[in-house]
Amino acid sequence: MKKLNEQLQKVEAALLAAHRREDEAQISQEWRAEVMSHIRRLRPVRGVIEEAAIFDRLLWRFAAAAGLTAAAVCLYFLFTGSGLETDIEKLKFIWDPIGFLAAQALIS
Amino acid sequence: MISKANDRDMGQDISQLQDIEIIRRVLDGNLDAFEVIMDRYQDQVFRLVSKHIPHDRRKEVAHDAFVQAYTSLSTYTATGPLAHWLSKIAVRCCYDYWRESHRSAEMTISSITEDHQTWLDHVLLEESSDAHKRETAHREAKEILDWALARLTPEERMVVTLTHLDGFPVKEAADLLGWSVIKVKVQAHRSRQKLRQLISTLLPDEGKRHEKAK
Repeated sequence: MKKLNEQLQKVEAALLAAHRREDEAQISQEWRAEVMSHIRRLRPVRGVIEEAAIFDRLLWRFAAAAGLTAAAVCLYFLFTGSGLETDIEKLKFIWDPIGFLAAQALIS
Repeated sequence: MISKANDRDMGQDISQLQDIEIIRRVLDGNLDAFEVIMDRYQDQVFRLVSKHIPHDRRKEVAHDAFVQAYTSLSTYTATGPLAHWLSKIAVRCCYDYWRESHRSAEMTISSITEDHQTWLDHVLLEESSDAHKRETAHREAKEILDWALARLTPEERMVVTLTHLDGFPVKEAADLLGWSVIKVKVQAHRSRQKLRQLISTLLPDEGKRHEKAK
């Protein structure tokens, strides 16, 4: 069985190399002229490249990422117990500590 | 005179333009611009087709691929390179070719001759990898591969050629064929097993080899 597998691998490798060996491309001017004359006989193709389609695809690609980020942020705040109001208060203290403390004293 | 000079100037410009600009010109009715696309990608398309289609039918399939590219040019959305879009069309043309031949039973299924068997014996006896590579230059190798591939369905043939023989990653093969990644994975595995089974039937069994040794 092991020997059979080895043999099989050998033959497979040789066949693979044979397949991957580059064949010479035999494209002639006549062939190209034939294709072009076929195309010229067809009804002209009209249209525009849809820029909107490109935008749509990009938009949807980023929409998924944006949605996931939003969900992750929500979950983070839900489980850490942190809220936007607390963060704003913290920022107030950093920017104006004296005013913040005075306001706290006045409230209490 | 002036218009001829303008045409020539325009022609020079066209060949230096980016693909997307050339496509715009074709879609505006300038058919000559399509020749620039052919000029840029004919080698690539022909090489791809050559890997899948018998020698005598390659030109025909490559021809179909370019005609199909032209007729569906308005569906090109420029979200990927034109080369990739053309490869997809070429692969699908090859697939159509095999489906058509399978349906019409037009395929000539070759048989294994003594020459092929001799080639196999040579490969099995060779130890050196250089000699091994040299052996692949033989026409017989390709004929044996064709013999085995002809016994697969068009689906199996396309998927095993793309993933196993051409070495495309599963995702890329799926994209080229327009199949799902799962379908390609399953089909590639099954087809490869089938191909191995077919090739193994050609290997001389232990008994025969003992007789030869005596």
